[in-house]
Amino acid sequence: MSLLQKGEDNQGGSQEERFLAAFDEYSSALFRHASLRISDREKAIDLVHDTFTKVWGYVRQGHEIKLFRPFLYKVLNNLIIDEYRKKRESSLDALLELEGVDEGSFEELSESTVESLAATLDGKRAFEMLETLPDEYREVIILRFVDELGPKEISKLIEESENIVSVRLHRGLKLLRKSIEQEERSREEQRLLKQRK
Amino acid sequence: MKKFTEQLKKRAESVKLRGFERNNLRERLVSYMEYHPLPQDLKDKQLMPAVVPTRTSFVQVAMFSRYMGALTVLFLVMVPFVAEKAVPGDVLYPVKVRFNEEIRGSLTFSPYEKVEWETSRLERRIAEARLLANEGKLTPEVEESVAEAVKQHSDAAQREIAVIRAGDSEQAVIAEITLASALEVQSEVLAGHTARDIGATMFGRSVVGLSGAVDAARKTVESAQTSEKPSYAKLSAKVELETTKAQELFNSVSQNATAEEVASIERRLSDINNKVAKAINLHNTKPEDIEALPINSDAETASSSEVAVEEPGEPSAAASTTPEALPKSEEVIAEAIEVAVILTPEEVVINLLREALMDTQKLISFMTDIDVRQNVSIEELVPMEKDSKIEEKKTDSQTSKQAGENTTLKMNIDLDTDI
Repeated sequence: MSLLQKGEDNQGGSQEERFLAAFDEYSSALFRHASLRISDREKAIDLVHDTFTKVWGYVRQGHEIKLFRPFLYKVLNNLIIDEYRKKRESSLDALLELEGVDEGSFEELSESTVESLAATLDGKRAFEMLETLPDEYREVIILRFVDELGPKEISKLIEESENIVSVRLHRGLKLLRKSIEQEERSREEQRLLKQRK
Repeated sequence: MKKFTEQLKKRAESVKLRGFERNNLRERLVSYMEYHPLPQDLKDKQLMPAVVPTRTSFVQVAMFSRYMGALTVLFLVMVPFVAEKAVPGDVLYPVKVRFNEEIRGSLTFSPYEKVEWETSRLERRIAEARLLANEGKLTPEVEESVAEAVKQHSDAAQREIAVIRAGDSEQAVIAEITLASALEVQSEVLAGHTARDIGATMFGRSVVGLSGAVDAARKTVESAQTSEKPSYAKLSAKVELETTKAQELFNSVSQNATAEEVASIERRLSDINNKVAKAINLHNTKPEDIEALPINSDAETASSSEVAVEEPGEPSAAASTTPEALPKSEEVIAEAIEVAVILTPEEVVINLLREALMDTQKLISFMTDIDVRQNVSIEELVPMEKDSKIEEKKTDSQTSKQAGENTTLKMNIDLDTDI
């Protein structure tokens, strides 16, 4: 059973009870995800609230939700994208342009290179640098390393192919490393400047 | 990689909702849910796990009712079918009498068919009683109820005859003849049964009471018979129908019957044919030629009257007429001649046809009803015509030669002594 599908299936009780149980179980994780993506605590709480009210509206229409976790992530992800559009006016087309039309190199498509790349990074530093990443990379990195979803689940959630997920993860991590290295370099420069003074 | 993930996650976990934030969020959500409750039908639907058994039970009820439908159909088909073999005292007997027979009775449309059906119902009652008597189960109560039923059916038949008479008096007479011959057969059968019972004394009960009831019914029918005569055309048509039926039956029966039976039935058939032929001849003869015929026709009437006298005298005389009967016959002939003088030729014709019809019908029930065959000899039921015996003597001896049967030979010798 995948991580997305774990728990909560075929819970008994009324729709309300099931829904509130899903809130108790996933609200924290959803808040964390939202918070890391948009870097605004209050906004993140609102987005989690909106996520649950939207899902409740869906339940009220008579739809049956068998697994809440993937469904909640999907709704939240859409809300975050909406939020980005409001903020930065950046479209998915712009995102594609940024990434280029290439589907990624062999190296970028390999999961093992993602792992070896991640191994070279300092987690603490990387987390601090997450904010500097464009959201399309941040999204997959958070989903992969914070929410611990597999590439397949991520591809379903963000409605992209697994290849694109891999490429984004790869490039995101590279960007993180670059950011960390840049930061270290600037710190070193600052330290040298202080010494000279 | 592991280190990176752990470090990243550890840092990420520091980002979390504070307790009050979480509670606030939950309260907002609960109040939102209260303002936007589930529609009533969905609330019912959420009880689905509890509803499921009800739904299955509904399915079960549907399936059960379907099976019930099939069972009911089976029941409605099987019960009347099984009931057909019921005798008085059986659980299904009322089904047979009050359901099966009433239904079949309601399917008859013409009054004549109704008379026929009432007659056969009467025959069925008597057959049931005989069956019970054979098994020694005929209690006085049952016999009484059967006697009552016999009376009812014969009354019903007579009522129907009255209905026919209102529309077609000739048809009514033919119906009367049918009823009378059926009653005569049953009366003979019961007489035979009684005689055998007394001889055997095996069963405490005999069918004496029933026999009395049938005789009573027979007398009522006979007395009710009007002096009205059916037309030649109608009667001969009916005779034609019945003789054809008898001939067909004979053809099918002759394959299984013994040579003796075949021979005796065949003789009676030709006897009937002779009567019919004579009647037709007489009918076709011009009035001025009639003078030449009276003796002949007298003889016909005489022999038929003789038959009626002979029956009670010798009920068990099977294949032969005893020499003692001879003087009696002569007396009867003498009487009959006196009676016959009054009869017009047309009446003689009708009487001949009437006898032919009754004989044919009796012969048919002899061939079709196994009970009749077992209890009554064909001689008792349809006695031979004396004249025709003489006439057919040659054919008889031919038949006996062909068959090589001693009995037939003996019968011919008897016939010779008779004359």
